[in-house]
Order: sequence, then C-alpha cells, then structure tokens
Amino acid sequence: MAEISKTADQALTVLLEVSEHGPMTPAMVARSLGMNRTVAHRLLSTLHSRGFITRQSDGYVPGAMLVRIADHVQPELRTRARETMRVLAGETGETVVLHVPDGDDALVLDQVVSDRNVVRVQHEIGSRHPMPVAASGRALLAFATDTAAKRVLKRTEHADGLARQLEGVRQLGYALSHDELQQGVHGLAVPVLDADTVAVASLAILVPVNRANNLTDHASALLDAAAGLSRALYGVPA
Amino acid sequence: MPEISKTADQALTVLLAVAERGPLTPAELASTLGMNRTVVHRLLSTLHLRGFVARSADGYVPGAVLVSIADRVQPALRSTGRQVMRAVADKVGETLVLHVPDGEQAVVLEQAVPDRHIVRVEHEIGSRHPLAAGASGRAILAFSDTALIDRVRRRHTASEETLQQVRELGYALSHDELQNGVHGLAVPVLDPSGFAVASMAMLVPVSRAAGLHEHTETMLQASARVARALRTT
Repeated sequence: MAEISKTADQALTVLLEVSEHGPMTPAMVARSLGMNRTVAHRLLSTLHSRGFITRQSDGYVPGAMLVRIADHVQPELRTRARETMRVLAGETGETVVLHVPDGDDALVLDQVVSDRNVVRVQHEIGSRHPMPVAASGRALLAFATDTAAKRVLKRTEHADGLARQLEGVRQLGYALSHDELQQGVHGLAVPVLDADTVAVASLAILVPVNRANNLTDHASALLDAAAGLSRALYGVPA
Repeated sequence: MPEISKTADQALTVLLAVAERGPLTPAELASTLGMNRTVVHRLLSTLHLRGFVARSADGYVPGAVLVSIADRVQPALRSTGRQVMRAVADKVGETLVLHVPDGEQAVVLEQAVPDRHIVRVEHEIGSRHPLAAGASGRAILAFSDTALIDRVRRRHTASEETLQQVRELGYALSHDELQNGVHGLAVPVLDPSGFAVASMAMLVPVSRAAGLHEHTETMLQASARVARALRTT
C-alpha cells in the first residue's frame, strides 16, 4: 500500500461524513469523527472554499462542485449503460449493477434496483471488492489485459483454481457467484468489451437465493445488452 | 477568511484537475500543478483509497464515489428544479439557473440551457457570487433572515430599499452585473415560513432583454411549483 496523507484523508472523511449526514455543524463533525474541533473547522473551511460543501443556516451540506465533477466520471459509459440497465431491470425484475475495473479491484459505478419484488438486492455505488471475488469481478478479470490478469493472479492465494474458473468464464461468456460478497445473494455477470476484447466494465444481475434457480435464464438477455453497449461505445460487432 | 489546511487543499486541487482534465499520470499532475512528485503520489494514493479517483490504463480518472456523493447534493430541490426549469427553458427558449444560498454567497446548483438560439447564456455549476449581486442573489437575500442580511451588508451594498422592492414585486432584476450583456429576472423559491431556499433565474442576452418582463408570471408559477413539490417530499 502506497503511503497516504493523514490530513488529506481526514478531509475526505469529513466530506463523506457531511455527504452522508449533513446538515452538520463543525461541532457535530468533530464529535462524530472523534476529531479536534479546530481541525474539523479548518478542514470544513478548506472543503467550503473549493465548493465541495455548502454552508446553510443549520450547518454544512454537500456542495454543487460535487455535481459538476461527478459529471466527468466515465460519462459516456454511464449514460449508455443507464438506459441498458433500466431495460434489463424492467424485463427481469431484478437488480442490475455496473462495475468497472479500478486497479486490482472491481468498483460499483451504477445500479438500477427493480421494485418488482419485495426481497431485493442493493449495492452501494462507489463500493469496491477485489477482482477475483464475485461474478462481477471475475467477468472483468477473465477479460482483463494479460498484464493486469497476471498481476492479480500473482497476488491470489489459490491462483490455479482461479485460473481454471476464469477459463470457464471465457468459455461461457459469463461468470456466476453464490454467497460471496453477501450471504444469500447469487450473481451472474458479463463483460462489456472494447475493440481489443478487453473488459471495460461488467454488467451483473443480482438475485436473492429464493429466486436463484432461474438466474441462468437471464444470461442471454445480459449478453445481448453487453454486446449492444460494446457496439454503441466502441463499434465492436456482436 | 477562515484558516484552511494546505495539504487538504492540495488534495482537492489534485482531485479537481483529475476530474476536469483526466486521465492524468502522477508526473503530468506534478508538472501542471507545480507540485512535488512525491506529494502528488501520496495525495493520489489517499484519494484512490477513498474511491475519489480510479486508475485507468492512461492514468488517474475521477472515481465512482463522486457519483454516489453527488446524488446527495440537495436531491429533492435539484430533481424538481431540473424538471420545472427544463419545461420553462424549452417553452421560452432561454436559460434558467437555480441558485442556493451558501453562507453569504449564492452558488449555481443546476441550469437548463435551451438550444434554440445561437447566442445564449450559460453558467457553470458550482460557481459562486455574493448574495448582494445579480438578480439571482438578491431574490434570495430579500427573503433571508435579518442576521444574514446584516452579515452580507458588512461587505457589500444591499440597500433596504432595493430589497423591499424585490419583496413587493416578488422578483429581482439585473443588467450587466455578473456578466456584461446579460440581463436576469429571478424569483425566490420559498419555504413554508417565507424564507428563500433557492432562486430561479432567467438569463437573456441584451439583444432579447426587452422581452424579459413578459416571462414574470411563468417564472413565479415555476418557483411556486418547485416550492410545492419540496413541501410534499
């Protein structure tokens, strides 16, 4: 792990805290993060001066600058994938999640939660897990660049087993998982490929265990959706 | 100006650079920002650990956590404001901008820019100006508590006459204040106790300024619609 800056990390923690629980006064921030009040004040002023937070009469709330910079997070992929995911969630009545590779991790970029069923699965946008874990990760890893795949495999405990699993994913075109990240959740994920057939994202459908029997029924819809995205984004023929 | 933290500010500067101009490598960031390369590395690791930046093959890009926290920026006001402004902007063919108070300033939260005219006004989301300035600022200030008005007056001119006029008319006007050649008409979005939680402004280039007052009623209705929607959420 590379060295991090304690002060910068505290500032980001304050920002996340205000985003989650704002409006918050400096005293509230200091108390909930166990931080010195002067430090909390200084970090809030810094975040405020850059527009990351806004000052209201009842405390600080997340600021408009976040809206502006969030627009720059993979805008094309997000816009295109959103529509695709909405259609998939509508057709299947299940949760559809978009992951992208981030170093050796898979990161949740977006999700659409269908409201058809009372028991449903929900992820947190921005959360991460290692690429060897879960269908969403292995769909990325099976179609990663050689360099990236080798790096991840080298750091994995059961590299042989994982390599065999990934070969299976390449043959099927999709990855499956049961109870990996969350107990009682089954997943099926397909890669979204670029012109070099490298995965730029994965589309996963997540279901609770009581609907897991029909999970592979959704494979072809998911594969079609991913192929459609590849075509739209990279002109890759299906 | 309250004291700020230099390191935290550098981290935010790196984040903004990655967001606006990424993908950027640590070396590129160090040279464009004039920062020490070790420092840039450390700040990127910190931002990466919290998901604010992600690593792509070409360098660092903005990370997904930004999408999730941006969703929490005044969500009710933004989504109803956006819908209502879009409808008005398309109907009238002019730019609408939503401002919210931020301390003694007004900050742009959303805008709807129609593409009917070649000459059009466009703001930047996140940009700020004093509450005493522009129609958008005064529409908020006129409907703020006296403590805030007093604080604004310590640094800016905002006569009671001007604010009283805004209160009586129900809207504020401006000419060439924040941008030369731009005229604005702004209405407050009021909470149940009559305080402004936001303002909605229509901005037109000087060539179409003569018709601005014709949209007063539309704007008042639009802000009332947003206020109603906020009460029910």
